[in-house]
This record gives sequence, structure tokens and C-alpha cells, in this order.
Amino acid sequence: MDPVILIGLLVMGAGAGLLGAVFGLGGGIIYVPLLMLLFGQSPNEAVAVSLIGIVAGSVGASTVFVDKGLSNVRLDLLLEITTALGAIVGAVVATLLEDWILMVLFSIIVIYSAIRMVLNPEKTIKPADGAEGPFAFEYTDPQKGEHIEYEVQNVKGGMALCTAAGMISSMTGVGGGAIKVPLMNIYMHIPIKAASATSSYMIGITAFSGAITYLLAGVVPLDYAAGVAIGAFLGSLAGTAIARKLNAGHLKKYFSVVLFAMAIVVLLQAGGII
Amino acid sequence: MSEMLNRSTALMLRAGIVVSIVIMAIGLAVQMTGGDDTILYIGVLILIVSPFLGIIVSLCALLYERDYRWAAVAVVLLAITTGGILFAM
Repeated sequence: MDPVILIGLLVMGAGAGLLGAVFGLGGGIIYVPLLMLLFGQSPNEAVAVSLIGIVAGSVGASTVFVDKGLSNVRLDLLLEITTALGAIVGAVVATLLEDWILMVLFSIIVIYSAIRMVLNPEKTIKPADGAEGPFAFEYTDPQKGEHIEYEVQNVKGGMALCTAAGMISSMTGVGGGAIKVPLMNIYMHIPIKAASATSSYMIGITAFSGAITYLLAGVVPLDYAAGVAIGAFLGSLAGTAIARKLNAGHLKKYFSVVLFAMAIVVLLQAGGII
Repeated sequence: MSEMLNRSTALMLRAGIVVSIVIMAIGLAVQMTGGDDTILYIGVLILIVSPFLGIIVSLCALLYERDYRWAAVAVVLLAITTGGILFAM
């Protein structure tokens, strides 16, 4: 591989890995179009490389987020069950629906989430004193050193909506985190920092299933995948350092800006403009 | 609560990413100097399976903590993830 291409892949991976770690997103929306337009990969190859970049960014960020307890491993396991089921159903349903319908649907959900994230103040429910419910959790916010307890609300509804999130993201190829972070934050009342860190890990588990299928099918350009993965890992470490310093209110505002940008990119794709 | 679960899962993920990044870097160097891509394949494979190994370690930690309710959740997730891969193939 040409060293210039390798540098390009490293830079792209680092950028996506950094954004992914800060916001709990995967980065597919960055990887897939760039791999096709700039690096001349086929759609299949681009998706395969993108999934591997997502795994690298997710695992890189999770080494920090899981260790510090920001990423809630129990919730990861629970919500990933219905997300994975949704993804399997989505893969089947996707063949029956036009791409543009899915993309417009995705954009509507993301814009709605972005507006809610701007308008709704952060609202977490503190567990009742001494109560040790199965959904009462805690973490220490590294920015303020503040100990935060929260009790997850609407667990069943959240699991059901994760099925829909899994379906939509497997049908459109983007949006695992873009849908799940607002869902966890607004509907399940999980603090934004815990929601994005939890999403970071979940995304890697979701991407794992797709990535291993592509690898076993032998369609992964390994050198491209390695370049992107190394970049994404380095970017994710920088991202976790930034995420720990950001205050929750700012994180929510920046997140909604990213959501609007994603909706615009997907609408442009749906219209065939990019 | 969960100290052991978080520590062990994070350790597994850290081991997976560090080992795979080192092997991928070596594999890239080998491939760029005209060698084949076996090493690269191994590195990419280790990277990809890291999140899955993370779930297995979480399951072991939950069993060790006697947190059977959440251990059952981990078992269901492992079953669905494995089933999904078999379905896709």
C-alpha cells in the first residue's frame, strides 16, 4: 500500500475515532462515504472497513470508559440483546424497502432527538435511599469528581425502542449511536456521559457481528482495515481524554449539533447528491 | 459494586486492542515490504473478536460476583450474537 494512502487512512480513522469516543457514535457516517469517494473502495469493502474501524474506536474508548465505570456494562449487555435482534430483523426487512425511505425515516428520528436534547434539561432519577434495585447505578464524573447515582427508567420501553434502533441502523448502515444515545438520555434518564460511554461499548459489539461475517467471507481489504483501525484506536484515546473534561451540558449541545449534521448528510445521500 | 466486572472487562478489551494493534502494525510493515498478509489477517481477527471476548469475561465476572440475574442476560446476548452470525453466514 502507498504510504500516502496509509497516512490518509490513519488520519480519517483518528478523526472518526475521536468523535466516536466523545459522543458515543460509531463513525460509519464518516467512514463509508470517504472510503468510497476518496479511497475508491467498493460499497461492500467500504462497509467492511468501516465496521472494523468502528470496533477499534469502540474498544479503544471502552478500555477507559468501562474501567472508570462510566460505561454501564450491565446495561450494555441488556440493551444489546434487543439491538442485535433488531439488527437481524432489519437485515431481512431492508431488502423489502427502498433505501431513501429508510434514510428519510432515520433523518426524522435524528432531528427530533437533536431538538429534544437541546430543549430537555438533563433529568436523572436518584434511587431512593438504601434501595438496591436492579436498575440503580452509579459513577464518578471525572470532570467534577462528583459521585452520581441514577436509576434507569422505562427499561422495557427502552429495550423495545432499541429493537427499532437496531433495525434502522442495520437497514441504513448508520446511526447506532445517533439513535441510542438520545434514547438512553431522554427516555431512560441515563446521564449523558454514562449514556454516550455505554453506547460506545455497545456499538463495538454490534459492529463485531457484521465485521466477523465480512472477514470470514474474505471481502475485507486487510491493509485498509488495519490503517483505519490503528488511526481509530489512537483517536479514541484522545476522545476519551476530551470526553472526561467536557461538562454534561456542553456535551448535550455539541451532540445535538452532530445529530443535525448527520441528518443533513443522510438526507443528501437519500437525494443522491453525495 | 461492579468493581470486578468493570476491571476485568476493561482488562480484556485493553489486551485485545493492544495485541491486535501491534500485530496489525507488524502485518502492515510486512505487507508493504512485499510479504503476504497472514499476520495482518491475524491482527484484524483479534481486533474484531475483542468485544465478543469482552462479553465472555463480563459473564465470568458476573458469575464470580454471584450476580446470576445479569449473568443470564450475558448468556442470552452471547446466544443471540452467535445466532446472528450463523444466520448471516
